[in-house]
Amino acid sequence: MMRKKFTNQNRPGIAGLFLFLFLFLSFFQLNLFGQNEQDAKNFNQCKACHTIGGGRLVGPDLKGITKKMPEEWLIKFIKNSQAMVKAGDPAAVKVFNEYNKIPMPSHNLTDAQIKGILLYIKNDGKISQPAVNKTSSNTLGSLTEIKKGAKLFNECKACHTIGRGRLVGPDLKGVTKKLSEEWLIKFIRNSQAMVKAGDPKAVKIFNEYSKIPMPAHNLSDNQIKSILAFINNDGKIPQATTVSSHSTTKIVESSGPVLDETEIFIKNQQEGLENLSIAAIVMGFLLIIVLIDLIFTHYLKAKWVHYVILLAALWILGEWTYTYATRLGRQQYYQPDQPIWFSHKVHAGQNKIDCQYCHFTADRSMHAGIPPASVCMNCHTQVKEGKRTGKKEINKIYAAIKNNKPIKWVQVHNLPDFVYFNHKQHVKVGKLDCKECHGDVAQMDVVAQVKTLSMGWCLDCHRTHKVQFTNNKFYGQYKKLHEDLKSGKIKDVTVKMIGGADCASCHY
Amino acid sequence: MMKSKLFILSVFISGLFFTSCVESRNNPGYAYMGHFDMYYTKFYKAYSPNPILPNGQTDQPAPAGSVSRGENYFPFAPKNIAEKVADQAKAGIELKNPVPVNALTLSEGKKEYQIFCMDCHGVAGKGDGHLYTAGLFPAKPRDLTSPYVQNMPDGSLFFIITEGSISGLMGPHGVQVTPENRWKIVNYLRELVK
Repeated sequence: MMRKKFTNQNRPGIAGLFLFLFLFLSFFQLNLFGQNEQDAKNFNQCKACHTIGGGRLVGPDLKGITKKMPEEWLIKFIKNSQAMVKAGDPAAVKVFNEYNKIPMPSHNLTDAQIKGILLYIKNDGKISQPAVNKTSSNTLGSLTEIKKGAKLFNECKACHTIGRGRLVGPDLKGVTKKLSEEWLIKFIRNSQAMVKAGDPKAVKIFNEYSKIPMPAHNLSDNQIKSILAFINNDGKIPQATTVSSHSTTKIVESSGPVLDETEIFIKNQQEGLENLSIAAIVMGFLLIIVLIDLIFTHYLKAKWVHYVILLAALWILGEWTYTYATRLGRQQYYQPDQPIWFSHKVHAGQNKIDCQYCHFTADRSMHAGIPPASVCMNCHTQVKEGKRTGKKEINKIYAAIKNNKPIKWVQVHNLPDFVYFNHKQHVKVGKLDCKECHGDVAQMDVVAQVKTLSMGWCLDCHRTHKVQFTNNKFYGQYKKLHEDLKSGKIKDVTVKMIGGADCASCHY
Repeated sequence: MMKSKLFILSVFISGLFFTSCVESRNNPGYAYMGHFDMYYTKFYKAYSPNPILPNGQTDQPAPAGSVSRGENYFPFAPKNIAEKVADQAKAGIELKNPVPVNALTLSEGKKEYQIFCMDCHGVAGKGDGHLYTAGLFPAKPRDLTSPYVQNMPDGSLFFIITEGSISGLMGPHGVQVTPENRWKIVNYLRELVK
């Protein structure tokens, strides 16, 4: 319900246009752009210290500066501000003192470029009117490009899908957001060369997909770019075009959010449990009625009906009892709502942020660590609006920081208190991937517990998992096992052999 | 007739009553003798709320100025941009890199770089990380191979990782990365241009 509401929200017009342009600038780097886009691009390097109407950073907010100061002065200042300060220009000295005497570096720009930037500032950081027409022509250009890409993608379909799960090769949905265009072009051309050269991402993909090499493709840069445009558009051919001068360019998203494999699995399991409980309640009720009729009222003459219903009810109730008895003390498929609608699918999945960026104590502490709100602020000082939730959810972080009130996240993976579990031991020493115990969190909007976390499940892994025993100081003291390994008595050491299946390892 | 109508009605109502208590995904489930059999003990855990300690947290921040075992004192706590600028220059002179450069520390530095830096600064440190190229983060991250960065002393780079950049676009990562790993990242940055 909630999710639908979020996707139907339209982005504000100008922001949408801006985002669109930005995507084009970074993805395609077409030289079709007019002066205005070029100015916006030039302004990117100013953004490190300045905003237009967004308040001061290191340097002043530049909104309205073109009205306050003459153009000549500004050009001179941007070119070499320190020379002006030294020469004692009163306005320059004033600005210098006001902003903590941090010099503005001199910029090697031409007069025309600076004039362009000033024009862009004058427009309050918006790309001026003629630019809109330009973008509309660009959309058309990209439309033909996407169509071309759709045709070319047929070749890829043998091994890849867009948003329908993995085949031989990975699902390509969102791949253009995760990886740079250059890298993708290189990879599509000749993936094996990259793997051999030891490119970490290429090697990772190669290993992840069972070491089946992707054949080299003899395509031109433009052809690959159009394929990427098609993938970037989630494999759909957009029907959107630009509308009148004031409104936005946006790509129509026809369908709702796509549930990932893991999410569908969790949902099915939860629904299965619910259905079983409903069936058990109904059958229990029937059982009582049937028993009453059989013993007291004798309403139905045909006795076999009673017996059939009795058997069916006992079967369902037995299954219900078994399922819920094994679930006692475990919380499989527990998927609580969190105080902030935070999506791991967006952060870990689409944005490809490493788990340990936020859960940074996983390799040095017993707890994986819930990130403090200050970690959120590493990005969310700038990213103030979510695509699905708007400002509502991100504002909760700002409120938490402002009031110095911790955010009350709900713990999903709970172990009973009589079990000792240490993340450091598993992540740092055991070198386990987070996925092995937590499931594919990068595919979940709301995190659920996928594994049972039962004792049998722990021991299954402890009995079979091989320890990296050699070249590891941590296990130096197991002298006998080392000797056995050397003499060839045993091939490798499992966790069980170093005491991983003893009761006291986890219960004390 | 009246009797059977009443009967059907009672079946219907009790049916509604029973189906209303089907578990939702917000319910963690039950444990056998949960509160008696040490499933849920009463002591405060690291992340549990606490009525006694300040701010209602069990997990308290370390007192200001305290130093963990095996770590060096980090003498800077800039409060505004001007102090940050001064401290960054001072850190370049005062702080010395204690981590030797060898294959092991470099590989560890690379691993830390890939976790904490790569998303913005890119695989090769060119400032072309996927968060920027995909338009998710608005400002261009610094090219770490540029002379501006490479000419800084180790201490200043360490300071920037700890306290964030002067512009504030890069946040402080001192909480996330241990000091030793920060030095390893600095070593790895030098390796990027070699």
